[in-house]
Formats: sequence, structure tokens, C-alpha cells
Amino acid sequence: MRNSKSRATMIGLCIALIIALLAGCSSQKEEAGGSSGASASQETSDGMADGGMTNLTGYPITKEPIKLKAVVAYSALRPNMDKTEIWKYVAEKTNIDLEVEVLKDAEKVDLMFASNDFPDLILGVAMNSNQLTSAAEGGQFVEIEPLLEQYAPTWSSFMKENKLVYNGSLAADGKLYGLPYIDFAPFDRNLRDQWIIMESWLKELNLEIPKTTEEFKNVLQAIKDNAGKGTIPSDVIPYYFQFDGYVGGQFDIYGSFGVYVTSPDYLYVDNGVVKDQSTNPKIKEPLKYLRDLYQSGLIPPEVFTDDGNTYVSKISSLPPLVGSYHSYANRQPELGTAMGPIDSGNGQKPFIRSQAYVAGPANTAVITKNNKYPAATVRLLEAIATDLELELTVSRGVKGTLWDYDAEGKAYQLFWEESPDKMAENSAKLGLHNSFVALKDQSFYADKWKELSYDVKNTRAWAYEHVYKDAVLPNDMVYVEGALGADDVSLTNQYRTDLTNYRKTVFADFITGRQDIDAGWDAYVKQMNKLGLEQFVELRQKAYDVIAK
Amino acid sequence: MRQSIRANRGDRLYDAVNYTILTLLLLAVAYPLYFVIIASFSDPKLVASGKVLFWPRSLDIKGYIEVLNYAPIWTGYRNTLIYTTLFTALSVMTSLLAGYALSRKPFPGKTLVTAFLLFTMFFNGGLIPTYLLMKEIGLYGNPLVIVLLGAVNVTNIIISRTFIKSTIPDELFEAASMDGCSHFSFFFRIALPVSKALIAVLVLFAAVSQWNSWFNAMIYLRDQQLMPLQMVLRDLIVSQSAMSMASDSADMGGDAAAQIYLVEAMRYAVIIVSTLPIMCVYPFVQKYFVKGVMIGSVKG
Amino acid sequence: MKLAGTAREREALKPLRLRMWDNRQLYLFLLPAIALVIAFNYLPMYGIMIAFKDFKPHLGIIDSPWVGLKHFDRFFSMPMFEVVLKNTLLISFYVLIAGFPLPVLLALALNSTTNQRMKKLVQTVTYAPHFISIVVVVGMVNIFFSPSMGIVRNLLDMLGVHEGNLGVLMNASSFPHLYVWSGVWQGLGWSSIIYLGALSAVDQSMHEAAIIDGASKFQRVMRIDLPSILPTIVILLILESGTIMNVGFEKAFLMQNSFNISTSEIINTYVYKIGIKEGQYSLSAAIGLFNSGINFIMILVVNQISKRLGQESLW
Repeated sequence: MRNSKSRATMIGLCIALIIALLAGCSSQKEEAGGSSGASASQETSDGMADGGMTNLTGYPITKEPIKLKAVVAYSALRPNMDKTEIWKYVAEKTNIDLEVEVLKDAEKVDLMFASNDFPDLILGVAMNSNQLTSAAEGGQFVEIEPLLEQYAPTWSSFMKENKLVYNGSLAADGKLYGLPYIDFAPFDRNLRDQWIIMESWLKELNLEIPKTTEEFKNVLQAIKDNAGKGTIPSDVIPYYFQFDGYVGGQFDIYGSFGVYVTSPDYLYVDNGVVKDQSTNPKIKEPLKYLRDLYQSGLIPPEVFTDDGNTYVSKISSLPPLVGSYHSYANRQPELGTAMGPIDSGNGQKPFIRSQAYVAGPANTAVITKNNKYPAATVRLLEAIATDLELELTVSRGVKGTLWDYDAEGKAYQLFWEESPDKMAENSAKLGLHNSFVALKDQSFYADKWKELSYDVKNTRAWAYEHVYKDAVLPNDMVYVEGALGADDVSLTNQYRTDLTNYRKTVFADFITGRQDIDAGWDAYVKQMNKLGLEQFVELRQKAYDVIAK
Repeated sequence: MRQSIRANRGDRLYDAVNYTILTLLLLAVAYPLYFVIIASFSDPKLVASGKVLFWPRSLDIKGYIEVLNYAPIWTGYRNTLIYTTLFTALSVMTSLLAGYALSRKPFPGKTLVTAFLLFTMFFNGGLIPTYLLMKEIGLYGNPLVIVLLGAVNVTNIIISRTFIKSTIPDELFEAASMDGCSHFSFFFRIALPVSKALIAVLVLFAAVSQWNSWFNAMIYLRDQQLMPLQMVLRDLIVSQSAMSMASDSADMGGDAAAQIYLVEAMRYAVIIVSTLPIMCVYPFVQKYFVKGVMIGSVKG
Repeated sequence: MKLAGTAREREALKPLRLRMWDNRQLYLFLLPAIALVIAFNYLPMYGIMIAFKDFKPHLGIIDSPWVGLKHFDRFFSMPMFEVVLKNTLLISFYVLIAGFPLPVLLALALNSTTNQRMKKLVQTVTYAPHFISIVVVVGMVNIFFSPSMGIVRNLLDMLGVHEGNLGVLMNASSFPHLYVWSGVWQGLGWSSIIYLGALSAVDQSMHEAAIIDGASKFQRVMRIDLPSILPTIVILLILESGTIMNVGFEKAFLMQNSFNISTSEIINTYVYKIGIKEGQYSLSAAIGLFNSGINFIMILVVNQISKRLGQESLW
């Protein structure tokens, strides 16, 4: 009895599964069938562009108003990228009406790639190399270089001249499918984090801004000793950072000791050769310095346990809670100021980290094969690069609210991300910033833009100009990477996770004193090598070569 | 008499111990809850640095104002109410019907159906084929998808089956059917009214799960006007998800920390705003957990 | 009794058609569930194949090339595989052992309390944490147990029990405890609801009879209440054991810090970090299938054990 029952059950289940498989087959066939059809009409032939719809020069871009569907990934600072007023401006000027859909989550972006369900234009979705390559392989994207040569001379020559940007945007098949967002402001690119110190407290304690590691320690000690006096809170945190975070972390301490680290994986580039710093014995010195600070109570244990939000809360605290921290922007511009990297006295020049002149990010405008007007689209992208008003409207926002022209005809900023409140208030007028394209290269900053913040104390630009200009690492030492094939990416990620996990644990033990640095060093290096450090560096070199050749 | 005195002392001890344990539990569980409430009224920076202990610090209702002024929240509430009602009705009904059927004595296909349903608890095709299917049958972008997807919850069916099986023995139905009662009328006239506690539990589970859900809406809906409450709140609090915290802000080339600043103020207020309504449902449901007058009609 | 037995046998000897017709109403009852399950679970079921193929979106699921067990091989041979598997299983079993009995005890305690106000208060307070999002819960854990400025540390310092910094967050060994007990805090009240529901269906006349027989309250709870809800307990235990591999990614990920990686790296967080999301659909499908497989085996085992012990079973 029981046997025949369970047999019946098994048979029944099998039937159910077979039905399911067949259902899958038929739906898939439709999918496959549908997708290969429409590619014929997109090829722009010589003569008329887009089948006669697009004007070859001037505004409007198309003879009649057209609609293009686009997607963009959600950004908290610009929540209304689909409804912003700038699209009206663009439609009026160019006749191109961009209908933008905001993808709220990475899952949705993933689904778009997995189901081959693309719009006409893909804006910034943080596309990774696997996604890009597999979509390119499937013929979903339109190769953009030939279109650039025909309709976008500015972009074309920019890409030719900026190898890092060009190589960094390629898919693994070596072709270019999208244009990047470019912002080459020197005070942005030539500096990673500022090193902020609470000047107001120094003044109260009659101290100077520290220039050496010795002085830095003394200043921190003084701040701690004077907790509760003056404006120094009783629970002050002398020195605080987000442990091992490339942004906000302790990497500039390494740089002060001459151990230059320019990537979260502890790599840097020495004349085209990618080298690892995590097992460089010279890093023991800064680690010992950090251990010293920790054991003197100048670094709280929370640097290892606080999460990102808590970290930001503490460093942004007003009145200030932290004596010194690393951050992109100065959180207390009235009270804190930027300090340069400190000299360790070991003969190595202290440098602070910089960034490279790469796309930020790449592929923020990708034309898909569903796009009926590729020439018009490329003309729009070119217009953004050449027409100042269009570029700033699309990138920053509505003229008069976000930016304006000054008496000399240069554009300047009225407010931006450093005022999150104003951003929220004017969210209907914001541009797309780095979710779309822009070409703010060196010539933009030289001729078209007036950066006012150079004159405002404690802004990033001012800090760059007055404190950091001569203390930043040369850009060619910064590690940058290009796209590798799926298997290489997979392996790289695996090595990276294993190495990072181990290194973080060991360094945390070193700094808190749980493990002695000298005694534990050899075992640490041995284990790192066992976890695949050499192969990892090789893969990273390969990725570097892709972009830097 | 003697027995009642003995019972009294032992019982009193039991009651006292019970009461003490419950009180301790209450205190242990309540503090973090209390913390959430006072944190929602405090300056987020003080909360993060551990300064908020027993009362709000630096009274700050900015979080609430931001949240309540955010117009889409009200559409979100409305949508969630509709989705929750429909979903709960569908889910509870299917669970009860299926649970009842499976609780009866064996009939042809009973094991097959049970296995058929259980199989789906472990193995499913994943997001991609489901997404493709939705697009194909036209449910993509259709609010119905929120009500239908996930309405059949096999765990709830099993729970229903167990409950009904142990409270409504077969003999009762045998007796009723001999009087000409069909499964239909037995179900509606006898089984349901007696299973009030079960229905209450199912309603609670279904309603809460739908109230808290956002994933399906995010994947399958496009129109902002159709978004449920949790989706709207997620937009406000981008850093609610671990994923966004994981992104390396170095890639973003800019001041990613500004995003977090904007959001901190609202984090705790959002919890209160989003959960207060549904928490109020429980007391209503609680009264169905009364000790039921049971089917003493079948003994032995 | 004998009559009933024969009736069953007679019943079973009836031809299939007749038996099906007799039970036609039950089939109707099952129809909605079956229809929905076919539509939303079985139609997309072919997606399981992704785990055995090299899924390429432009080829679609059906036409992507077969690679058999390649992804599983890749997964099992990852150096960290054993560690993350061990961590995952350790936490799951800990969650099960610590988290399963407590809601039952709470339900029994609440049900037997005479003070109605207390009962309502405790119920409402204990079930509230279920609604707090994981991010906030972990945030609170980090704030409360903060090494140098947390409330727990300050409390212990004041009481003279412990001086200096609180090492809880800085020890790898405390991760499982923090993970499990914060989970208990969150789920205790909510999980007790179903037992409360089951308890409310307990026959009051049995209690009355027991009181007359001189049973103490404790005895009544242990001998009447508990056995009455035993079927519910067993079924839920079986169902719970089928979620053994579903250790929450988000919570573990948020609770990780530089010190506890050796115990907090579970399968899902590891898989996330090695970039599984980067379009490696097949590998992540394979890992998901592996997890489901283990869940399934667990449920089979626990279900069999339960059957052997004469208790409820899923089938």
C-alpha cells in the first residue's frame, strides 16, 4: 500500500516538473525569438541620420520631438531624477524628451541585465564589468566609437587623449559602449581625503598644527588631558577613523611614514609595476605608531566596531566630538581645518593620497540596440560636452538655483552637496551629476568655471590650494583598473575577500596590542602568501595593464 | 476542602514565580524598545555616540517632520492598507481551505498534493524566471502581483492542517455527514467558528508579512503611485539596506557621507511611523485567543 | 472500535473513481492553493537549471550551455568553504536550540497567568521588537555594547564588575552569542503567538477535571497544556529545521567587524563579498540550490525522527 502511494507521489511530482519545464521552454523560445529581431534598423547609414529624423548640426537635434526611454540607478541625494525640471529644458532645446525610470535597487539593475530588458539609453547604473561584457556579447549595446567619430568630435578627441578614461570604459571585448562622467577638478582628483584637525581646540590649548608624528601625538594627548575644559567635551575622541576604510581610514598615516598605499587592497603603482604594501615590512612602523596611540587611549576601540553611520555621525558632530579625522569634506568648517601629512622623521617624504584622472564613473550613457535614434542620442551627449548651459543644467541643475553666470561670463556654483538641506529643498531642480555624462575636464576648469571656494577658508578647494598641493602623491602612483573577463574577476574577488578578511583581523590585533607586531609578522606574511597574495597581485597587474597601456 | 488549600499554596508559588519571570522579561525586552522611542526624538548624533540613555537628548522632532511631510507616505499608507486587506483575505482563505482539506482522513491524491506543496518550500526557480513569467502574463506593473505572489504560504497551510486536525477530529465529521452534512457546510458552520484562534493567527501573520514587505513591489511595480509604505520609506532611508552601506564610496568620487547625514535624522522616526499602525492590530486579534469552549462532544 | 477499522478498510477497497467522487469537495477546497502554486512556483521552476548551466542572458535559460556540477565544484573547493559552512551551521543550530524552546515557555507562562493586565502588557511589549528593522537592531547592539562608551560598559563599570573597555564586540567568540540572543529578543514574543493560539483551543473541561482531582497549577500546565500543543510544537520544530541554512545575510553582514570575521563569515556573506552579485547568476544559483538541498535533508531527517517517536509529521 505505502509503496504504491509513494510511487504515485513520485510520478505525480515528476509530471508536475515536466509540465514546468515545458512551460519554461515555450516562454524562453518567445524570449529568444523576440530579442533577435529588431536590430536591423539601427545602423546609421551614410547620408541621413536616424532615417532622416536627426539634424546633423545645431538645435533642435531632431526634426520632430522624440521620446527616449532611459533608466538610472537611485541616488539618495538626487531622489527625483525621473521628474526633475531639467528634462523640460532638454526637451525644449533639443526636441529629445528623455523618459527616465529610476531603478530603486541593485536587484532591479541585475534583473534588467538578466532578462535582457533594456530601454533606449542606460544612464548611470553602476554597471560592473561582467554585466557590461555579457550584454555586449549578446549584442544588446551599440558600439559608440563610430558614432562618436561622426557626431561627437569633442568626445572623440577627449577619449583619444585620455587613455585612462578610455581604457577604463572598455568592455572585456575591447570595445567602447558608453561615455563617462568626467570631473577633473584638481581639488577633487588630486586629493583623496583631507586630514582635519580641530583648530579651535588647538587655539584654546595654545598649540600649533602638528607637522610631525611626535607633535601629532602630543596634540592628541593634550586634547585628551584637557577633556571637559573649554569647548573640548568630556568624552572627546582625540583621533578617530573608520578602520581599514579607504575613505575615512588610517591610510594617510601609512603615507606619513613613506609607505604609500593607493588602493583599498594596499596596492600602489611604481613605474607601471603594481606592488603590494600589506606585506611590506616598512608598514610595521606606522602600525607601531598606531599601536602606541591606541595604548595611550588616543584612539578609541570603536574605530574597529562602529558602523558607517555611527562613524559619520561622530565625525559630523556639532559641537565637535573628534579631535582629528580623515574625510572628503571638512565637517566643521568654522572650527576644524586641514592639516598636511605628518613627518615621521624616518627620512621618507610624507605624502597624502591622491586620486587618478579616471572616469567617475564610466559608462553613464550606453546606447542599446532598441534605440531608434542613436545619432540623435550621441548628438545630445556631444551637446552636453560643448554647450555650457546645457551641461551645467543637466549636471548640476536649473540655472539660477544651482548655478549662474558671473560678470565675466564664467559659471559658478550657488550651492551643492555640502548643503544637504538645500539639496533636499530643491530636489525638483537638481541635475543628474555623476549619474549621467558631463565633460568637466581641465579646460572646463580653466576657461568656463569659476571655482569660488578657493577663497573660502576650509573648503576642499582652499585646503588643496593652501595645504595639500605639494604633499599629494603623484597621480601615476595611484592604482587604477580596467575590465577583465568573468573568470578573472571571480578569482580576483575570491582572493581579495580572503586576503582582506585575514589582513583586517591581524592588523586590528597588531594595533590593539593583542598580537606583537614583530613577533607575529612572519607568520602573517606567510599566511597572506598562502591565501594567494602573489596570484592576486598578478591579477591586479593584469587589470592595471588593461587600463594603462 | 483539603485539596483546595493544598492547591492554593502550590498555585500561589507558581503564580508568584511566573509573575516575577514575566516582569524581568518585560524589563529586559522593554529597554531597547524604549530606546527606539526616545532615540526618535533625539539628535541622531547624540544617539550614535551613545549619549542617549533614559530620556531624549536635545529634543529633535525633525525626523518626524521630515517623514510626515513626505507626501508619498500617505499614498504608501493607502496602498499598503489595500494590499494588506486583499492579501490577507486571499492568503487566509486558501490556507484554511487547504489546511482543512489536508486535515481530513486520507483520500486519493492527499499525499501527492502535500508533497506537491512542500516541494515548493525548498526549491524554486529563482527571481529571473519568475520575473520573466510576470512580464509574459502581463502582471508586471500590475498591483495584483502584490496580492497574488506569496499568497499561498505552505507553512501556514501546514499550521492550519495541524490545528484543525487536532481540534476537529474525524469522528465529528463522520457523525455530521451521517446527518447529511457536506464538507462545505461542515467547514463553514462548524470548523471555522471553532477555529477563531487559528484564523486570528493566520490573519496576523499574513497582515504583518504584507505590511512589512517591499521586495515584490520594488521588482514588479513601476508606477510610484502604486508603491506600498515600506517601499516609500526605503526611499527615505537609503541606508536601511546593508548593500548600500557596503558600497565603496571611493568609487563615487565625492562626498558620500553627505547622504548618510541626511538620513540619520529619520531612521528611528521611520520605525515608529511605519510600525505603529500594524502593532495596533494585535490587541484586536488578541481577544480571539480566549480559551475556547471546545468540542467536548467527542470523547475517547 | 473494530467496526471503525473495518469501515476504513472497506473504504479503501472502493474503486478509485468512487473515492475521488466522494471527496470531490475537498478537491475544490484545494483548488485555489494548487492553482496559485502551479502558476507562481511551478511555472518558473525551470530556473533551477541555471545552477547547472553557464547562464548567459542573451541566450536565455534554456539555450545556455550545460556545465553540470562545475559551479558546485567551484563552491566546494573554495578555501574558505569549510569555515563558512561551519560558521553557518553553528549559528543555525544555536538559533534553533536557544530560540525554539523559549517562545513555548513564554506562551505557557502567559497562558497560565491570572493577571490579565500583566498578560496583555507582556504580550504587547514582547512582540513589538519583531517590527524593528535589522539595521536598527544591529545599530543598537553596537551602541549598547560599544567598548568604551556603551551603556553596558558604563553599567558594569558603575557596579564595579568590570573595568576598562568592554571586549564583547571585539571578540570573535562573542559573535554567535550576540547574533542569537539579539534574535531571541526580537523574535520571542512574535513566535509565542502561535503557541498562544494553540493553547486557547485547549479544552477547559480538562482543566476543571484536573482541579477537582487536586492537581496543582504547575502540574496542570505540564500535563494538560503542554501535551495539547505538542503537535503544534513538533510541526513547527520540523518546519524550523528546514530553514537551517537560511542564516540571515543582512544581520551577519551588519554585525561583522575586524575582530569577528572568523566566526561571522557565513555562506551568504562570503558569497556576497566574492562578488557573486556581479552577474554570476549560475554560481549564486548553485549555492542557493546547495542551501536548499541541505534544508531539505534536514527536514527529512527531523521528520523521520518525529515519525519514529510517534509524533506529528509533515507527511
